Amino acid sequence: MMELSLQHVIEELTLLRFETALIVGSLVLLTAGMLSKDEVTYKVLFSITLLISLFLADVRDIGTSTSGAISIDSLSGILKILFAFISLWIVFFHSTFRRYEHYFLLLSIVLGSSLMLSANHLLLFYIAIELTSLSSYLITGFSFSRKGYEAAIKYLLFGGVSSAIMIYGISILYGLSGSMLISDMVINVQAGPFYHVGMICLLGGLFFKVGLVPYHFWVPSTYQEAPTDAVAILSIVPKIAGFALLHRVLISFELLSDPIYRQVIAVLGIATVLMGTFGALRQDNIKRMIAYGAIAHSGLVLPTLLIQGEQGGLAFVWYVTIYAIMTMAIFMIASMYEDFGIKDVKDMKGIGIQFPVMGALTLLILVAQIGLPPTAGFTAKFYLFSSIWNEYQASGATIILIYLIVGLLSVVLALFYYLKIPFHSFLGTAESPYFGNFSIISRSVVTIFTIMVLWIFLSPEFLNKIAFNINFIGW
Amino acid sequence: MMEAISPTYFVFLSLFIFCAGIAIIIIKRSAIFVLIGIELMLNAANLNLVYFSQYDPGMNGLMTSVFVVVLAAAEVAIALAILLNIFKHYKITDPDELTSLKN
Amino acid sequence: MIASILTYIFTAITIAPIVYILITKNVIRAVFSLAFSFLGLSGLYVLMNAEFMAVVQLLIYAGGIIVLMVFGLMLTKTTLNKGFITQHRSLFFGSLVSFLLFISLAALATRSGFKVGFTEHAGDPVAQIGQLFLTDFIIAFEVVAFLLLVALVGASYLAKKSGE
Repeated sequence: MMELSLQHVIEELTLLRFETALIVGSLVLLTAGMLSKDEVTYKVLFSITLLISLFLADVRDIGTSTSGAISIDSLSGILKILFAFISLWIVFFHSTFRRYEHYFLLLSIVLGSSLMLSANHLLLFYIAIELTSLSSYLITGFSFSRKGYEAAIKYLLFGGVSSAIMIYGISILYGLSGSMLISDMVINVQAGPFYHVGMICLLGGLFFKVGLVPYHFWVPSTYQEAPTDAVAILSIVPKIAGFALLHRVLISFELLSDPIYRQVIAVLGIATVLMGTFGALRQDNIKRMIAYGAIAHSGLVLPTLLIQGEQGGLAFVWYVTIYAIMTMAIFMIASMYEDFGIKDVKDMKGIGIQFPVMGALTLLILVAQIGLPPTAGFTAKFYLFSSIWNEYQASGATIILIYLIVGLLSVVLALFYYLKIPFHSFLGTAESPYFGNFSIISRSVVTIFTIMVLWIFLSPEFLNKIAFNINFIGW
Repeated sequence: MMEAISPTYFVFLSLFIFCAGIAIIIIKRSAIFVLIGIELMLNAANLNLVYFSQYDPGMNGLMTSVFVVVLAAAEVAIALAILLNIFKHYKITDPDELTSLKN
Repeated sequence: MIASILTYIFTAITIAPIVYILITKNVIRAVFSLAFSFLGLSGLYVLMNAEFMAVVQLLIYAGGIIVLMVFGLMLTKTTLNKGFITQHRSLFFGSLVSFLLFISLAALATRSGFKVGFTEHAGDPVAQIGQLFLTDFIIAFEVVAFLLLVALVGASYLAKKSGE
């Protein structure tokens, strides 16, 4: 009995070696932080940890542990690689001195998100989501400003309520099915009206994580006030993990075959796109505007979950990968402008004329955010909209068509708010010249990202190959 | 031991605690009250979990409820760390008065 | 029979403080009545053969979380009495929403069947829980340990920085 369970433990740890490496690495980082006062040490350990886990992640290594609690598919493999790869760039953010606690919490966000991808047991689900959330609340407060604390407590109270609702939903589902494993639950559950109550509560917690209407209130203030490098992680890693988890729930509980769930999710998605787009139009603060843009992006990723089969999976992987790259780039740019003391769009007058290269890079990344050629943002949107169109042709549901129209509308409106930044920086005139220069490291990293965005547009085979790999999981 | 009382009784009890938690969150203005509401909601979930765990040979519900308690403690500790900072800067703990982040 | 009577008594101990929390505007009284409510719940847990959970409830909730909240209150509210009073807002709306929610969810609950066929737990439940922690739930156990470390490191950093 004992030996058998030891084998199970070893088996589970083998499946979770990406996460294990992250845990070990962050503990090393914590210990080193007490010995060393040098930020470079923290950054080096941070990136070594991520590199080791990146090395350990394997797309082909799929399986379910004997107890069934851990289940790895190739989608989670790909997303883990994406998480580690994207988080690596955090070390190039030019900022004030950060203590090791900061990097420790960033690692724990990545850890929680990758656990979300592997969990098949509702308890692990809950713990993984809570690990991500608690680290996010804390790191929002790490800007150590009045507004930062305010954003953190609001985030915490919203998050606490939504996770309490979620665990209540889980307890209802447990009462109806007598099991916590998703795979067992589906078989044993006694369907009835109360089942839907539990399901809605569970979905609500996930909607909070990905920032969908009506759980989007925390997004703008958190993005505005949290440290910029933390926001870059927050807006990418937990959100993508949340979508993957949402997809897993929708598929395993067979909710997609229920037209009411499809309708409701589509309506919420449309509301999210509209809320994000119209919210962004009114903003002057750069990070707040990006936050509303991120809400709109969430609304745009959502329909891929409704599309079953290869096409939906392809569109999802394409969209989240491009989203991750361009969001990382735009937050790096935002942090570079912050070094100049620029937080509002109106403060940027003439900065593009004084620093033309930087202005051009900003413009290209923003064009990618909007989704226009010649950037990868266009490719992502193209895959997205064509898959939605095909879905409409196949199902003939009006709501999908409305979704498509709203999505296209949001692209048009995105022109108006994103292009505010280049408008002011190129066409405005500065009252006085800006002193100082952008840090050379940040500039080169942003250049790398811009080249990536352009290169993926020109030769999409690379990503197609990756996206093709996930076909055999049956999206 | 509990056969005499039907499961509906406990589901109602936990529903009552849950809805009371929601009512507290909506009605009261203090951040501590909101935390109390969250704790009540978590306890409602725990009551369900422990009750149904009696009928589960794997005792999943009981184990989960222990974890929920631990997570709740961590959450409250973090909330109070942030609230202490807020009090230092604002001298208030009512979420409604924190309005510097509106549009 | 005795079990049923005890159940009703503990239910009353659980519900009465919650009703008081709903009415009162005094935060400190609300926190202490929350402790009483947790006492009632842990009594219910004992009746459900979950002694371990009952002890955890008492130790962590009544002993830990309540103390934390009281600490938070004492540290933030300088003026006694006056500082502990909060105001109500949207009283009518809030009570209406939660009342309707309760009624409708209760109506739905009566129409659903729960998984309740009695299973005899063999052996000592506490020993079983200990074994489960280190076998089936080992991953959750380890991750929660890490989560507590995260909370500790983060919260102490936040508090320390503000003290400087």
